[in-house]
Amino acid sequence: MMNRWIGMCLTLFTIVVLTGCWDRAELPERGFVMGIALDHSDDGSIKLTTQMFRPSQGVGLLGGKPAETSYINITTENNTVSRAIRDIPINLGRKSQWSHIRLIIVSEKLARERGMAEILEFFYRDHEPRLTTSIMIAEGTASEYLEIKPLIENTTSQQLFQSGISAADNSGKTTDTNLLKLGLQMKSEVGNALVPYLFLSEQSPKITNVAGAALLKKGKLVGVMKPKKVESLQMLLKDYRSGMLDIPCKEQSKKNQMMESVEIIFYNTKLQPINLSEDSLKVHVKIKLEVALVELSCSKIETIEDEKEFAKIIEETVKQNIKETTDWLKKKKFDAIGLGNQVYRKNPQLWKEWKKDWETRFADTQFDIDVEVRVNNSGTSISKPVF
Amino acid sequence: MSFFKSLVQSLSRDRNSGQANQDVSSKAAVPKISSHLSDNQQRMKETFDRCTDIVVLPWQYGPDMRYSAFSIYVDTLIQKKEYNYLKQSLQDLVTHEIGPGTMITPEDISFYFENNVASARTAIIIEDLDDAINKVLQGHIVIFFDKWNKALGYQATGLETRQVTESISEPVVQGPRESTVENLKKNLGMLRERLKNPNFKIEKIETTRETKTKVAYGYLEGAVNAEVLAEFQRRIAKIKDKDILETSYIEEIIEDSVYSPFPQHRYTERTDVAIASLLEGKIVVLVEGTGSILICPGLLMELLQSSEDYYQRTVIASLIRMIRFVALFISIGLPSLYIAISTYHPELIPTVLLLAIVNSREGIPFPAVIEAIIMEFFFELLREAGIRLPRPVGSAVSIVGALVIGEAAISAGIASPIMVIIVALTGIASFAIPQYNFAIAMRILRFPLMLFAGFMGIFGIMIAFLLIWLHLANLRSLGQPYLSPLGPFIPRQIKDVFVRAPHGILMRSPRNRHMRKPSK
Repeated sequence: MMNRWIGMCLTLFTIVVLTGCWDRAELPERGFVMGIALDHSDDGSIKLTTQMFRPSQGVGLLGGKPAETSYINITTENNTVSRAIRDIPINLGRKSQWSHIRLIIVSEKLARERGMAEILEFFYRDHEPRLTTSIMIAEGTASEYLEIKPLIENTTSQQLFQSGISAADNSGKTTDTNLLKLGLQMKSEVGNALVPYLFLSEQSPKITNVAGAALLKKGKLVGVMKPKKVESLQMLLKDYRSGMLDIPCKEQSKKNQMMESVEIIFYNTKLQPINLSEDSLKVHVKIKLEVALVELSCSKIETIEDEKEFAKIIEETVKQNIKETTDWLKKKKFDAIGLGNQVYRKNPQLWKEWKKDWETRFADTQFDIDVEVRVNNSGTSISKPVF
Repeated sequence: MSFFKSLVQSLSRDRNSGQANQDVSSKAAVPKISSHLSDNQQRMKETFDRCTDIVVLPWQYGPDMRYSAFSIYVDTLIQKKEYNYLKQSLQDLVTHEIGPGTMITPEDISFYFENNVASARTAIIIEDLDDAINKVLQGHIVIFFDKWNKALGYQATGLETRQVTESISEPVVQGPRESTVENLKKNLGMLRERLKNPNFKIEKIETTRETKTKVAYGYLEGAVNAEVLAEFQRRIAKIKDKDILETSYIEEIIEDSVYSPFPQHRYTERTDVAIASLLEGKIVVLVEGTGSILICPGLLMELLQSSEDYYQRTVIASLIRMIRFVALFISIGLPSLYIAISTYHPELIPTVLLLAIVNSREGIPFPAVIEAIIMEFFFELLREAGIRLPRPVGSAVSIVGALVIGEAAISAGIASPIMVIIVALTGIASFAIPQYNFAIAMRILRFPLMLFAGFMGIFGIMIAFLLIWLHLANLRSLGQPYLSPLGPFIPRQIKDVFVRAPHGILMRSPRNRHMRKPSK
């Protein structure tokens, strides 16, 4: 009995003392990384700007005196990202903690030259960063964006992270990518990926914008897509959540074009490659839209015929938008809609043949677009201009 | 057998040998009541030497007041108006006797009382002096007569007892208010009043040591598990030669695991709770001089129930029970969870909350474990101080405590506001556990859990919980598995564990049907 007790006490003691202490750190011993910016430094190595959360000094009154800014930026330079990260404590004195990182910004130049796969390898492999971290490609120097004072949020990283999500959610003007989605896209058969594009507005004070998409081919930046085209692309990708659609008024001179707008409430896209066996690829796109009237400036929808006519105009507009986008993509020879993946899924044998010259084949693809619109409601007023 | 052997041996050797004196019944020198009154008086006076509360009153009676007697009683235990039993007992005789009162002789007295003729009042005939002394101490008036080697005892206890009041430790919003008092007879009476059934048995034990406390235990025959009852009776026999001042003494003597932090029995001071548990087949133990009723065997899930669960509507009672389960886990695990997450797994906290916590933790000199232990210790200290203090001073303690713990500790930089919230929440949660002794177990277990969390994070909490579960699964109360009806899993009884099923369903349980049969 006595031996059993001693044995149990020893076991408990060893369990408690000898295990699991390796990642022990109190909260004040850690520096929480909110976001990072990756740039090319002058000598060709990687310049890492890390935005850390700076807690307000809590001693004294409840909550303490608020610090001037709730973040600090630390810049380290080294040949690889991981070595640059290990250099952070040299400046900061605290071990960086990566699990709450909101955003990774990569500068356009770095993305063009070194490729995302190489830069982001660390974030896929290490256990602390999450795969749900947002990623963006920035115009100009990436670290510049982290220096800008946030408008409402605690840190710029948080602000950019949220603008990325809400821009994709509410207007469809950019895509919403995180490390996981990006990884899946880069690992897919086609290997093309879309990343939100970040730029500064031209007027001062400079305000950050997240709109448009950077196009990545094999992990390297090849071009940037305009926000309006991203909207149509999102529709093709079945990733569109909600947004506004501008409808030009008919019978108007090109100079002073009046616009009406509708909100897309519900949509469904079917994208089907047909004629797989033949040399030329044909894609059938069927889009179903349900819209609500938001702004009317010239149309009157009083009869069923009016409504049908109005729906037709919308259909035409959407068709036009999508056609512009696909034409642009075809011109760029960039398969952003993952058509190749669909071909691979339907006919893997054929894809093996096609994969080599997929880009030219994509450029020759015919898009057969079919749009169906239903006007669902007219808001809180009747279906003609209020004034 | 060995007992008899030793008895025989001791008798054959020497009467005064120490061995033989151990047992009361084997005392060959039990002093009989002498037929000489003066001898008895002398003996009693020696026994009650320096007991100023003893009153000895000599009397004369019979023809020409020739015969003498004396009554002896403890002044402080007797109802004053009835102390003159001598006269009454003699008058009793007169009604039976042909002659007048003045003609009564000691022969008459011995004759009539020994043949139980004259007992209009309940007189007990006492044969030996030890018994007489016991009776005196229990509040009897004992009367010795000349030329009679027996004495008469009259029960005349008249000690003031507390009135039946509302339960202080188990208040309810709805339901009976009645709670027990310190008087065993009154308590048993209240139980019997609620359970008018001959199957409700009440057995009595009197301890033989200094205090000579009366202990009673009751059970409902037909509902109680015979094995449990037999085991209980075997164990309760152990209290015979012990001094019992409170029911908890008995708990400790009969319980299975003395060192376990978990109470294996339940207490109540509400008669309705006692009756409900009797109907469920439990055994209740009452002790003279204390109001707490011991209910055994106690199971873990029962410790989370309150009598009010059965008085409220079923949906409400079930929801409240679930809240209690949450409270249970908060009171045992919240501080350790905070320690574990903040020192090992900050990635588990939502970002915005984390930033708020980081802000509040900045500049706190201690690790989270130490901070938590300090604050929990403060809280325990405060609680203990609050209980022991007289009521007028108590409010002062709570003011100081609230200031020290809530305000000053934060401004002084000893603790973070989030820690204060956690300590407060833990405290409140432990108040939500209806059984006080179970809540204490949670309070105590919290500390090792915090250490485990501080050393090993969530992994450590898991180990600690596993150890606790192992212990619970191993624990028994009067031979019954402590975790039942969860382990062993008894599906039929589960409807009264996490939720309180409607009475219509609860009453349909086979145990109750089985119980109704014998009472027909």
